[in-house]
Amino acid sequence: MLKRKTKADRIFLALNYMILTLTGLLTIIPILHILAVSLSDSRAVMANTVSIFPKGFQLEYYKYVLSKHDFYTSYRNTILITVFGTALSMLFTVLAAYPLSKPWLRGRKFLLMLFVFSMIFYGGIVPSYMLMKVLGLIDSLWALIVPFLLAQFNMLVIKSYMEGLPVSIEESAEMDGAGPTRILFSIVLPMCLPVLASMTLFYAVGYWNNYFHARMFISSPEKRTLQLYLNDLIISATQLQNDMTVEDFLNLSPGGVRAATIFAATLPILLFYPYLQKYFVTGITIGSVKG
Amino acid sequence: MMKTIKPIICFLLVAFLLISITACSGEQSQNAETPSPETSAQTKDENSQNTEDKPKLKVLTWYSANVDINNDPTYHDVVERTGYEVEYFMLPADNPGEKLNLEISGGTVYDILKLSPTDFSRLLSQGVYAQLDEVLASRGQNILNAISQESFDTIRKDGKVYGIPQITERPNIGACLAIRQDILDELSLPIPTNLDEFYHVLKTIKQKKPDMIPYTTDNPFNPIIQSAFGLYDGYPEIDGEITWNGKLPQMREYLAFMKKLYDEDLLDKDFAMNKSDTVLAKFTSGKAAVMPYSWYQAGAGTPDALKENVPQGKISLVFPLEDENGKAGIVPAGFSLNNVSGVMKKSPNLEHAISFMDAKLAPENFTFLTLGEEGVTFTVEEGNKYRPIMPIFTEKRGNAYVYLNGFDEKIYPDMWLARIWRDPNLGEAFEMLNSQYDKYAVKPALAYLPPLPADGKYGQSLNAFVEDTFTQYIMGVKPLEDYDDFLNQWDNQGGLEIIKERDEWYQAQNK
Repeated sequence: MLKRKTKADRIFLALNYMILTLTGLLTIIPILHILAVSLSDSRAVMANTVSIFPKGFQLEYYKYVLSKHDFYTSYRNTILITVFGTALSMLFTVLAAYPLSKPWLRGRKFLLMLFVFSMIFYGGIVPSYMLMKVLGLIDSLWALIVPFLLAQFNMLVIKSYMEGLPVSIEESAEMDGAGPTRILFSIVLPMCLPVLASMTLFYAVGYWNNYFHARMFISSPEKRTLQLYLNDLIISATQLQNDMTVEDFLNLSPGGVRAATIFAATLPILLFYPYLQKYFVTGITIGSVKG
Repeated sequence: MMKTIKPIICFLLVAFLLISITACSGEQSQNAETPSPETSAQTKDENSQNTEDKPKLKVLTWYSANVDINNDPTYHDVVERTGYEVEYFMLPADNPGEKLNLEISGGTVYDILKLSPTDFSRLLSQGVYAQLDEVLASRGQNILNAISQESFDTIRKDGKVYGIPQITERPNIGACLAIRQDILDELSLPIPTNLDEFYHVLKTIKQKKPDMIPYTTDNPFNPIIQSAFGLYDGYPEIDGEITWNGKLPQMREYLAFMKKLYDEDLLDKDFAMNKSDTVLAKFTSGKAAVMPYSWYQAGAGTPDALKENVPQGKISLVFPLEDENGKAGIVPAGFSLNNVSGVMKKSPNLEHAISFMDAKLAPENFTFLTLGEEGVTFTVEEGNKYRPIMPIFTEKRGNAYVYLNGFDEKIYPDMWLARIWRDPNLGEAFEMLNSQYDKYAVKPALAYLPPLPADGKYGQSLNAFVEDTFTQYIMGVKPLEDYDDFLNQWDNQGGLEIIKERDEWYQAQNK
């Protein structure tokens, strides 16, 4: 039975709705503004008179952005990295987490410590650049996948989830004659689905958003990722370099093109997010009970 | 028991890791001394030089927006005409210096580096570049014909050449002030030509149109107004010596004048927070009557944007204001080095890199690679009036400037105008601002100044310091009486060193 709402409850509820609506609006308005700019006439964009409704509706900017070769290649690169990276990451992470979840594994403590150690201490950017160079991965899309194949934190979360599974199920599978590989893929992994889903999402978002390493390891224009493409587009137009030539200046994208590119680049993940969001929340709480 | 073991294990682990790290780095430095595959490739290459096997060249250049650099029509023509396969790499737009440092210190080898003069001089002091004098003599005849010795002189180190300089295409008056002619007409005011008239115009606009910002800008300096105080050159020569114009008594008068504008609400109250975009938006939306105005803004649709919001809006130009004696002047943009192309010392293809750049400057290639074919992509009238044929010019040669490594200094300044005339609005704006070039242009004492060490050390922070302080003077946060203190601070924060270096360079040039 619900308690009847008192006056104070109702005020509290009304305030809650108000504040939540306001914050909701605060986050949506910039997006609407970008969308409106991308659909507006160039003169309105220059005079900065566009608010959240397009002024002088036109689709020229989108036609231009979608006609650009660079835009597609960078999109393709990011999708390749995200798809292959996430798949490989999950494989490596699970293959490391499963044995480490077994208490009888000899040297388990030591191995775990190695993982934790490398999680806490990071060599810095110049050593990683040199490492990538020695491995021959500089200016290769693999440089954006290989270093991130295993995120120790994600591995530890999966490991602790696996530790919570009942041992007897695996034992009975073993009695039925299943080998370790069979047990892992047919018995354990299906039971781990919730944690696997969240970790996949973590990896995917990480690969999609990776900007810093792409900046450092990629030099060829054809291998730029979407994040680099966007950053170059926006930075070059907003922060005029001292040594920028008139020609460079004349080549800059007008505000409308920038807005259209940003919107076209964020739209897919924007559509994707609402469906994945719930895994984000479960992902963060998983493993918080079992330590 | 466990408790005592844990720290020991930790210690051993750390020790083990440290040892393995030092071992690794030791191995690396050994590698550097024993002949690596790269250096053996070098000897091989030198042998093959005779048979002219052309290697693939790697070129690193700065960021240029909207250029598909390895697939542009000009790119394909460069490859075809020079016979060299080339792969271009671009530094990012964001923090290019950081990436450059990482690549150089990480040991990445490019054949040609086309960088800003500042980055060039930094890498030069790190010993990154190969010395070019002998190679230029044997393989760079076209380069030596195209580029003047004066330009080479600006980047020489101990008398030796380490790069190919590219100066700015053509000195030009980059910016004036834009003023709303329709408002002048309405209030029957003339276009101001001196300080009194300028003040009177702003004052009248404020009185008659209190909602308007008479003059908006985004920084405390303006050469058009400074002209009325005889302040043209940032580092002028006075009695045979270089000094900073902030030290001239006229600068105080200028600041006092600007403060007066600010106090009387004639100068945008928000000027310290404005960005160039905001200034443009204030003017084109009809909120402001005067703003700094460059020809590339003029050509990029500013008059149209103004008309969109203010149908009767019309723009006139305010040229440099005259002083009491009727004298006016401005230092044109473009008496400067634009970039320098050098060959990395570690590159095995020194000769080929020079041959490649030389081939682009060969008379039979240069015009073709910058403007295309006469009659197809461009026309020449009256000997030196170059005009593009549109839209094919943009299609074929729109990004040709990216592929330059220096240009023919005798003809390119005229040819370059064809690139400006791609957009007739832009061409007209350029001609309009430069219609009285000869009357106003003052060649700076330090034309084509190369980046000097003290500039790199103090230049940026000193500029920010000056801009902040001047802003504070104009806004009245600081009283102008303590200007002498400011000058002392300026001296101590590296200003003296900058002046000294510039003076030495100047004296050496004018021996």
